[in-house]
Amino acid sequence: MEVTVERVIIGIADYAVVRNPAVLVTIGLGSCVGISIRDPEAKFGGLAHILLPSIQESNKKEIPLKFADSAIEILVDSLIEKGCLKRKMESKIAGGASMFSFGKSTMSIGERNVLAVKQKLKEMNIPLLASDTGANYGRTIEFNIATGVMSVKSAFNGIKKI
Amino acid sequence: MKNIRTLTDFQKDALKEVGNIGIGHATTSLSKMVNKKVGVSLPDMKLIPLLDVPALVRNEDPVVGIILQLTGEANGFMMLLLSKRTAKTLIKLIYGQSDETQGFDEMEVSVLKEMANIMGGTYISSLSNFLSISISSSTPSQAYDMSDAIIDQVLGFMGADVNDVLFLKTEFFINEEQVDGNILIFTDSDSLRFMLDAINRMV
Repeated sequence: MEVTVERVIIGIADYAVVRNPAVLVTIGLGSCVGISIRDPEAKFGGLAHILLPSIQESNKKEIPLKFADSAIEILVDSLIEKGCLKRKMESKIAGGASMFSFGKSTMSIGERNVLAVKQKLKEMNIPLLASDTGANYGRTIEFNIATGVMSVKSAFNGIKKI
Repeated sequence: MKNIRTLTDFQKDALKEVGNIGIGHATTSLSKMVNKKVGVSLPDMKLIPLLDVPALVRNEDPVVGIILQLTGEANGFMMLLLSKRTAKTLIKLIYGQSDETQGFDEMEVSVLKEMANIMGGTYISSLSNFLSISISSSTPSQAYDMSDAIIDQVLGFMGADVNDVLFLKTEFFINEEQVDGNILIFTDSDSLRFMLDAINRMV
């Protein structure tokens, strides 16, 4: 028995916060990271799709949703505005792949993104329950706010539920 | 450096023409590699927010993306975006054979990379000769994956300071083989000043 729930699609450097029941979707994460945060008691959840690690490193700060640190703040503030409690919030993340390599030894953008996301979540005391990051393939994620399950699809590596 | 967000009609035409010449040379080199006539569409050129790019290249099926990083007085990426069928056909034309396997083996990947390398090299040398600016390119890198993820990765490479991009999209086709692909050029908007100055020196 399948009940149709609202599906909200989130683009790059974008986010949404919606009330349960809903599924938040972001398509084709490469080096980007998708971050879900929900408060299961308040029944609200959100998803952000970030492109780069830190707004501190940029001279152009017009689009804070591009960056892990500033986007997570926006996502959390927006959840609080809906009545969520920060101490009840929990998070899951996916993405941060390195699909192309140019033979440089420096850390890839994907790895830096994942690190920045983890750091910011830790700083804000939001537990990271599960993650599916790294490797060399793209991911599409669907985050079910009601169940808290994030399904991570890839073109050739099947579907993971985290 | 002032960020350029709009172009005059003259600048737009000139940049389009420069791109056109470069793409023309690149497809001629492809034509030599596959020994077939290669046609090209008129380039579609836009100065747009970086985040608007994914919607312009969305594809349901996984695609082959081969990218070259361009650095120097114009920074950005050149990308070949091919369907699996097109990529396999091009490999067959260049290398003599290709497998109908799900993915691409090492040999096939290196054929694709070499092809991109030659096309990219021709594009860059044409652009640098024409505009007298210095551009160099990285070695190519290849992925076969969701088109959104491939574009997503390139947007990440463009870096923290790039919000706008000069985006050039050209379709090439080999009619007798029923294949077609896209050549995409991403130039960050800060590099535009160099290119426009170079154009101004010419007129």
